[in-house]
Amino acid sequence: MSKPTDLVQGTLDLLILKTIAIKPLHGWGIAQRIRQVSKEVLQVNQGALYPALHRLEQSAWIRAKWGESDNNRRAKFYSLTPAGRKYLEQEQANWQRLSAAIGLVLETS
Amino acid sequence: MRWMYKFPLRLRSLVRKNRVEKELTEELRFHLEKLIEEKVAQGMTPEEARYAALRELGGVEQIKEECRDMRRVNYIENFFQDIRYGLRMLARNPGFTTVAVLRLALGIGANSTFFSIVDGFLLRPLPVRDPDQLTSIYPMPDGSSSYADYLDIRRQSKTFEGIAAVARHGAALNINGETEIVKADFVSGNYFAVLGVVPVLGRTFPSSAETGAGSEPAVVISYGLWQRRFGGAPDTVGKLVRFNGRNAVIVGIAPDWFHGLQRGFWTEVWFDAESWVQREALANRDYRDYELVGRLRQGAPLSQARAEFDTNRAPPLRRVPCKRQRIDSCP
Repeated sequence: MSKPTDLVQGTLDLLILKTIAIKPLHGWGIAQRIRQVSKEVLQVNQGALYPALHRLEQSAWIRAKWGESDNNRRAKFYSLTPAGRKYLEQEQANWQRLSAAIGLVLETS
Repeated sequence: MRWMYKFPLRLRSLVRKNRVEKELTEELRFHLEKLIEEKVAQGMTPEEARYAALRELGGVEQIKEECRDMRRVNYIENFFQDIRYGLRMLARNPGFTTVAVLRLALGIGANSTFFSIVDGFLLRPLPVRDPDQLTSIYPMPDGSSSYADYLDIRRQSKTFEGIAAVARHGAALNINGETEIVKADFVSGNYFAVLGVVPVLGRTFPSSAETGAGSEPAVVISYGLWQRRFGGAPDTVGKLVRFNGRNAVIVGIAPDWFHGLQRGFWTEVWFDAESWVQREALANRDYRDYELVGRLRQGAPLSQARAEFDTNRAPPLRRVPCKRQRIDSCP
C-alpha cells in the first residue's frame, strides 16, 4: 500500500487539485475519491491531507466554503479557484512530461 | 488575481482567530464521524468504531497544529512571493512604473519640503540651552507687561533662575550711511544670559555699573547682519550703528542659529532696553510693550512657579509700592 506522501513531493497537491476539479468536495470526500479512482492503491493519510488543504487554500489555489453534506451535516467543501485551475493544468502537464521521461528511461535501459 | 482570495483569508486568520480555530475543529470532527460511520457499516459496534477511527486518524491535535503551521508558514512564504510578483509586474509595465514612481517622488518630495518648513517654524524646540526650562510669564491676561512690572516680578520671584523681558519692534538702522529696516528686539540686560545664548564674537550687554555715564548704548547684532553689512569682519565689535538719530555701539555678534524667540520673525539687532529706552517709558506701567520669558530653576516644577504667581494674582501690580511713578524713585 503506497501513500501519496511516499511519492514524489507535490503529488498529493496534484491529486487533490485534480479530484476537486470536477466538483467541490470535503476532506473526507477527497480521500474517498482518490482511493476509489486509484482502485484502492492510493490511501490518503488524513494527517497529510488536512495540512495540504490548508496550505493550498492559503496559496489561493483552492477556496473553502461551508455547505451541507449528503446527510445534512455541515462540512467544509473545497473547490478550485481560477488560478488553481491554471496551476493544475500546468502541474498536470509537468507530471505527464516527467512520467513520460521516466518511462522512456526505464524502457531503454 | 490570486491576491483577491489571499487577502481576505489572511485577514481572517489574523483577526478572527477563534472562528478559524473553531472551523478547524469542526472540519476534523466531520472527518472523524465519517470514519466512524464507515467502520460501523463494516460491522463494528459504535464503541469499537470510535476507538478504531481515533487510532487511524492519529493525533487530532497534531493534525490541527500542522494545519495552523501551514497558515503561519505561508504568511512569510507568500509575502516574499507577493513581493517578487509585484516587482515582476512593475518590470513588465515600464510606463506605468515610471508614472507611479514619479508621482510618488513628487508626493513624497512635496510632503517632506512642507514638513521641513513646519518643522523649522513650529516643531523644533527653541535653539537655546535647555528650552524646556523656559516659560512664558503672563502678568496680564494678554501676556504683556510693562518694564516696571517686569522688574518687580523679577525681584519677587523665587522659582526662576532668571527672567528676561523682550519688546519686539522694527528699526530703521543706519550702518555706514546706508539705512535698512530690520526687526529689532528691545531686551532686558540679562536676555542672552537667561536664554543661554553666547555671542560668537564680543559679549552681551554690559551692566550699568560697567558703563560710564554718557557712553553709547550697547547693541548685539545677528550673524546674518554681520555677514551682510560688515562682511564678517572681526573688528566689527566696537563699531557704531545709528538708529533714531542716536549711536549705539556693537558689543557682540549672536550665533548664526539664533534669531530671537519668535518663529518666522528673524531679529537682526538687540538693543539693551535700559540703556536705550527713556527712563520715563520704562517706568510707565501703561506701556505694556514687553513679553516675559523665565528660566525655571533646575528641577523646579512648573506648578511651583504657577503657585508663586497664583498668590500674586492681581498682586504683581497691586503689591508694587509705587504705582505709576518713575522707576528710579522706587524705594
